[in-house]
Amino acid sequence: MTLPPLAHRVGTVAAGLLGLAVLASCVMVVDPAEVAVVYRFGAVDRTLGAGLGFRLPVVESSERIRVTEVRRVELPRRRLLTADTNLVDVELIVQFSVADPVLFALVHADPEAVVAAEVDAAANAQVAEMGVDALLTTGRTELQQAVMDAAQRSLDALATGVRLVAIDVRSLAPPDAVVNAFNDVSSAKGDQETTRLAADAYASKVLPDVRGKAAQLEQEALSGAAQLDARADGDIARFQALLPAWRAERAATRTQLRGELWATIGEKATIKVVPPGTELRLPDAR
Amino acid sequence: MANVRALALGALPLALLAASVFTLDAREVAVVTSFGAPVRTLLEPGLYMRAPWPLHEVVRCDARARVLEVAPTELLTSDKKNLVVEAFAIWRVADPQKFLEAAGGVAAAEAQLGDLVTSRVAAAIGKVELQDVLAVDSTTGDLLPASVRTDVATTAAERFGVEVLDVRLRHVGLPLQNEQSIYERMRAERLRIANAYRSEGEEQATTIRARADREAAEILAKAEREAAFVTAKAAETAALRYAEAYRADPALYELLGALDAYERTLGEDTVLVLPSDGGFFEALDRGPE
Repeated sequence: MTLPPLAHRVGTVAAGLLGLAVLASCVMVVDPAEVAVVYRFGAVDRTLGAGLGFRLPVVESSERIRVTEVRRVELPRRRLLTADTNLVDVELIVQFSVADPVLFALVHADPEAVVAAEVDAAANAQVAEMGVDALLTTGRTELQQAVMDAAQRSLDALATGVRLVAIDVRSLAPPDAVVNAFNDVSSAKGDQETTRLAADAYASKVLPDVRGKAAQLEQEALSGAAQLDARADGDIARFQALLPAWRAERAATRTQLRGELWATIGEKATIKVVPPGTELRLPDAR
Repeated sequence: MANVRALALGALPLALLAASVFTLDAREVAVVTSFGAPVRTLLEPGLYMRAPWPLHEVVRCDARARVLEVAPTELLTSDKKNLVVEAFAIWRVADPQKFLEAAGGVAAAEAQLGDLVTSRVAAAIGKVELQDVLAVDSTTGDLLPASVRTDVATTAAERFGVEVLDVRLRHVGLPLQNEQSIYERMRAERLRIANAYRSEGEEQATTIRARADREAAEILAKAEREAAFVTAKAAETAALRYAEAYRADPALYELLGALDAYERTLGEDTVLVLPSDGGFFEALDRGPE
């Protein structure tokens, strides 16, 4: 049986095209952000990294997993009980990436749901371990770290192939119903500080004042002493000056002194000399 | 025609082969049944042989683990506190034959597993007080004791061929009506703390003021003492010098002292009224001759 030349040629071209198509289906390009898991007869055979990869037709199939991408799960806000049976509202955001693409593809139907559940449980347990004051003041970082560690342990035990990148505490606050009471504590802290500062201000005014006063007292005492000394100098100088004359001739010296005194009295005071026996009437002291 | 017959003869074994071979994916497990009766359980992925339909049938199950979210349940602790507890379980089909017989499918299995988890969690929480519910079990890192997980896992495996990988509480909360009493207590406690801060502030302020006042009084007292000392010292020195002068000549000393007294008595508006025979200047007139 011989085919007409045209049909023969068409057949050759078709066979060639079919061959090319089969070859093309063997080649796969793996994106740098991906890892391809190759299954042969349904079982995992190998993984392919970025670049050109080969896959047998029919007997092999493949699945691409994005591994570099950081995935994000936002957990709904939860009202949690603390160790001292207070309530706090907690809202977390989880970021994770794929550490093991084979586990990630095979083990769990919905790895994101597993991540959400395990982080939720870890947060619930960690908050139950901590007191409300610790949580709301310094506990944020501790909560993040503890939740991340606990959830990662669970996810590892469950062979999820997931690596947690970060747990962000979007909000951590007392419930709205009691938020005023918590704010009042903050303002009381502020009041405490204000009161203390006012007292400090008082102390830092009183002490310099009194130091100034003390210095003044000291200066006054010194100048008083100097005056006393100076007067003694003057008095004694006068005494010494008069002494030789006095010793030589007492009456003359006394007369001279009396003269000086009268001169001084005359300068300063008004003198009235009355006959002996005159009654004196002093003006009323008032 | 001969060609067609040859083709048909060749295709028949191929079709038979195609109907007798199947693959099991890594994410599946399967049971091969013959007229409904299980023949083989397949747990590993790969290429398998079977008798063609209708002799054998392959029933596949998803072998991946699933998260079962158990609906929130209100439970009582042993100290009669109400709690709203939300648990979850992670499970997968381990024995497809038992799973298909006992549960039939995912929905039915999850309903049964949910009931099992709820009852075991309720039993565990009913045994302890609220404070102990909030205590983390060190072996599981969770609020549930490890026994709950092992109990659920054993029972689920026996009853419906399911492997339970994890059971945890994702939320322990209070019923809405009980939150109010917690809020009351929280408010009272905050008020106490706020008052404590304020009175601590007053206390510190009073202490600081009192300390400052005491220091001020001390500084002043010290200064006064020193001033008095300086004055006394000066007075002492002066007195010694005066005494020395006195010893040199008591009469002159007294005379000068009296003169001094007279001078110091005088002011601008002093009026001296003297009887003509008076003894005011006696000191001057009298004297040792």
